[in-house]
Amino acid sequence: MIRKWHKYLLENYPLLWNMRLPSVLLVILLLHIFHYFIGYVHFNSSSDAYWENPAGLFFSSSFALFSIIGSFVVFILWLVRVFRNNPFKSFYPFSNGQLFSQFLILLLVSFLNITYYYSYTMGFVHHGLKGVNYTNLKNGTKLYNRLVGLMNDNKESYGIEFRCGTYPFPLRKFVDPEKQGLSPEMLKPSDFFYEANDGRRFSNRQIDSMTGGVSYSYLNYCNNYPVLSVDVGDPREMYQTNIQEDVLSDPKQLRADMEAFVRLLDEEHIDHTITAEAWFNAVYHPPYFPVSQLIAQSSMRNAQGIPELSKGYYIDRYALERKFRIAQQVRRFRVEPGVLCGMLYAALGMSLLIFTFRATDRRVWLITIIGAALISLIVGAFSALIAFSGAAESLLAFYSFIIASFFVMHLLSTRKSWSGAALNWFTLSLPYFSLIILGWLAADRHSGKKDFEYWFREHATEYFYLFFIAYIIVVRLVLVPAYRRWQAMAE
Amino acid sequence: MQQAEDIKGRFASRLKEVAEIYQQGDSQLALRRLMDAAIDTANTDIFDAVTAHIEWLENANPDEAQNWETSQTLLNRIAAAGVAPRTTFGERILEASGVRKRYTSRSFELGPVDTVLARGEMLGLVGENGNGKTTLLRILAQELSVDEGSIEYFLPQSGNAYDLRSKLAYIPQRTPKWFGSLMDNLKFTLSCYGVKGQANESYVLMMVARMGLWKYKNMQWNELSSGYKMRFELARTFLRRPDILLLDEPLANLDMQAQQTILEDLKSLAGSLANPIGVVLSSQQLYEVEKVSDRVLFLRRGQPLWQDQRAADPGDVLPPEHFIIEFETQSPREELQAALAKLSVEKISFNGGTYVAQFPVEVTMPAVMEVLVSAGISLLYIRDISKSTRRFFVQS
Repeated sequence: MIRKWHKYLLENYPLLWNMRLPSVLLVILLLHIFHYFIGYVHFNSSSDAYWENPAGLFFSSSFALFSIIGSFVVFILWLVRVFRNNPFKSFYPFSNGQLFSQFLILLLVSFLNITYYYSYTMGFVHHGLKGVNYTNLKNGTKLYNRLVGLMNDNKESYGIEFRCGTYPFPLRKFVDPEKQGLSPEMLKPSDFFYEANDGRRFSNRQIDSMTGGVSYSYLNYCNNYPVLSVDVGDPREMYQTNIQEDVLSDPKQLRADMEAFVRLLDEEHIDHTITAEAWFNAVYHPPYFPVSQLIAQSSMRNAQGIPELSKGYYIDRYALERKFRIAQQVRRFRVEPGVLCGMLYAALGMSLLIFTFRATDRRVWLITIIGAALISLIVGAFSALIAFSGAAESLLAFYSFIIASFFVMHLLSTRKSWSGAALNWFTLSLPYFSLIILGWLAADRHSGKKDFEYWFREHATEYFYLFFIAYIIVVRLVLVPAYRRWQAMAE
Repeated sequence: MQQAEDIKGRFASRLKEVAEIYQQGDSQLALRRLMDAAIDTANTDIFDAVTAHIEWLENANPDEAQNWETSQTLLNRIAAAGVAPRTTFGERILEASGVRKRYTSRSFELGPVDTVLARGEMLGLVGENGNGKTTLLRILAQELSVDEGSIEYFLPQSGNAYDLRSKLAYIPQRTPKWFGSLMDNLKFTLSCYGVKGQANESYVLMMVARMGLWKYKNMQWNELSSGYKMRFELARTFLRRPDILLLDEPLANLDMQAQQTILEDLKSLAGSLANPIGVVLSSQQLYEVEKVSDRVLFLRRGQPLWQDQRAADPGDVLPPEHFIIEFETQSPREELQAALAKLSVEKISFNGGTYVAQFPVEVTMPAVMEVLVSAGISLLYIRDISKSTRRFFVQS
């Protein structure tokens, strides 16, 4: 089968055979599947997975090194095979279109060979999404968000330190024993103190300083709780205010919600010691309840004391959060345009480098590489001089001049090796042109009092994609004919 | 129309010649000529039939009668298929005028060289080492630029420099290493030239058989001897169907038999009726090159000393001024001197292996032989080099 395929390609599609495209694509596909599998296996719902982008997830894994080495080996082995035949250098009929196709193949393989992270992440993601019902997830998240501000996460969190960061805990409010005789109307805020579950006492002022003055109550109500949102991609944005006061104003609904929530905990196998009834009693029957404005039912105002179970119930909120967060992040997963764009440019640079090797001879390529290093040093030194002389804005023109002069040198040089090296320098420096244009745009926009940073943040990806397409067009219309002409040039 | 008829007639006479060679018992030579005729048909059915015949010869080991019988059938098929000329035999394809190339670092200057090349013609390039043969070949191949003069190519559809170079095939003395099997490389070459599918396979097998590579077709570069590597290069080059073939010392590292075979193959394939090509060949093997070349260009210190224009335009010919022989004998020099004095020998020189004797131009070979035999001098080897470029080597 493989022999037949090999023979078919060899006899009918010499370019594909020469570039070993089907075989390298097959190998890359297998590697992508392997990465997907590894990503799938690596997913561990009990781990505290927390990532901001797929590349970050992949590169923070121990598998990344193996993957990079694997990718490198595949690429080298492929190139060794590709370099075995070069119809272009052998002066076989090789049109501009074929030379361009060769470049596109290099670009495609380079790109696919550096994006294994994507398959790894997809494996991770798909495992994370396995068995997740999005409707249930959404409803569960909403429920969680409604109630999370009223929950203790675990028994150990009953301390004032955790009062209003992310962890609620019940505080009991007492009147100072020395002021016990005063009628409630005569009491001032300073006459009260708060007692935590561990017996420590705090004044109003202490509580305020610790919580930043945010609201607090026996209900452990806080305006700043970590909540989950089904619509927010960045986990950092979970910390937002969305506890609605109306949650507390409808005990009937609250009870129903709580029952649903406990059911959810059970379904998700979340460790907890709470029941709806116990929690409801703890919240609605505290010993002293000064925040009556939050509770509609007046009958609750005189409820006596938080029973002991107030510090006896807890929910492993982390576990639930993890489940929800991972599922939601996984579902929202997509390749970040910036990362994709970076990968495209990396592939472009790599493919141009190989293309220059493929289209010129070894000696010229060696001159190119050594010359590029020297040119970088010289240009760097001149850049420093220009920058120190206070004419930094001239740098852009300087770089443009350098890049343009490579092409002029290519055209004017009568020595084939120098002409080829100049063409290679032009080719390899071309991708930097987008940065030069960007520099110009930045200077122009600043001088025009426009918000360049805002513009760049909004349009950077489009900008670089546009230039990427422009490079491809330049390769086809300028570089390919130039290399073909150069190849035929006599020494 | 006239030309088509002419080619048809020449094709028929070639086939007749093949039949005669078979009948004379030179079946190997006949088979090669048969394959040349088959290639001229450009018919893949014929190619398949010929390769099947080769396979049969390899496996069945038939006697001459059986061989002739099947070969005759093949010849009839080839005759029926006819020749399909793509280009015109004898048309001028290259003209170099006043070509000069200077190497200041080596204090060497080539030229001025003026020469022409026609389709189906072989130009031999001879001269001692370092006299500019390779430089001239590379100039003709457009690898090197000229300092003065011009080269014109009269080739179809060669609008740009790359297209032109794809019609010029230059084989350097040291052929580059190739990877993979011999067959794969040949198929790839042909595929790049647009011959696809089954036609590709048929054509490649035909060329493999023609170049005597049948047994080696699945071998790799490091499994082949120098001779077979050169055969492979020639096979690859002929598959490219170039208009001009430039060969730099193709006979180096080949044994005598291989040299002759390759030169004969070159001559035969270059003179194809369907696709005649112009060949420029440099070599140190003077006699072999002279035997197959239509013209010989002798270079000494970069200067074209002599062009033997046998095919046409005798105005360029430098006529021999002496009768010169090269010979080997174990007789003492004094005896030789005494014997040859009868023929007014002008000069005798000995290079440690062979003698070279120069006589007035009217002396002939039978006269020399007669004198030597009558003097009792036994000869190991003798050759008339009056018209050979060899005389320039011994005169220098």
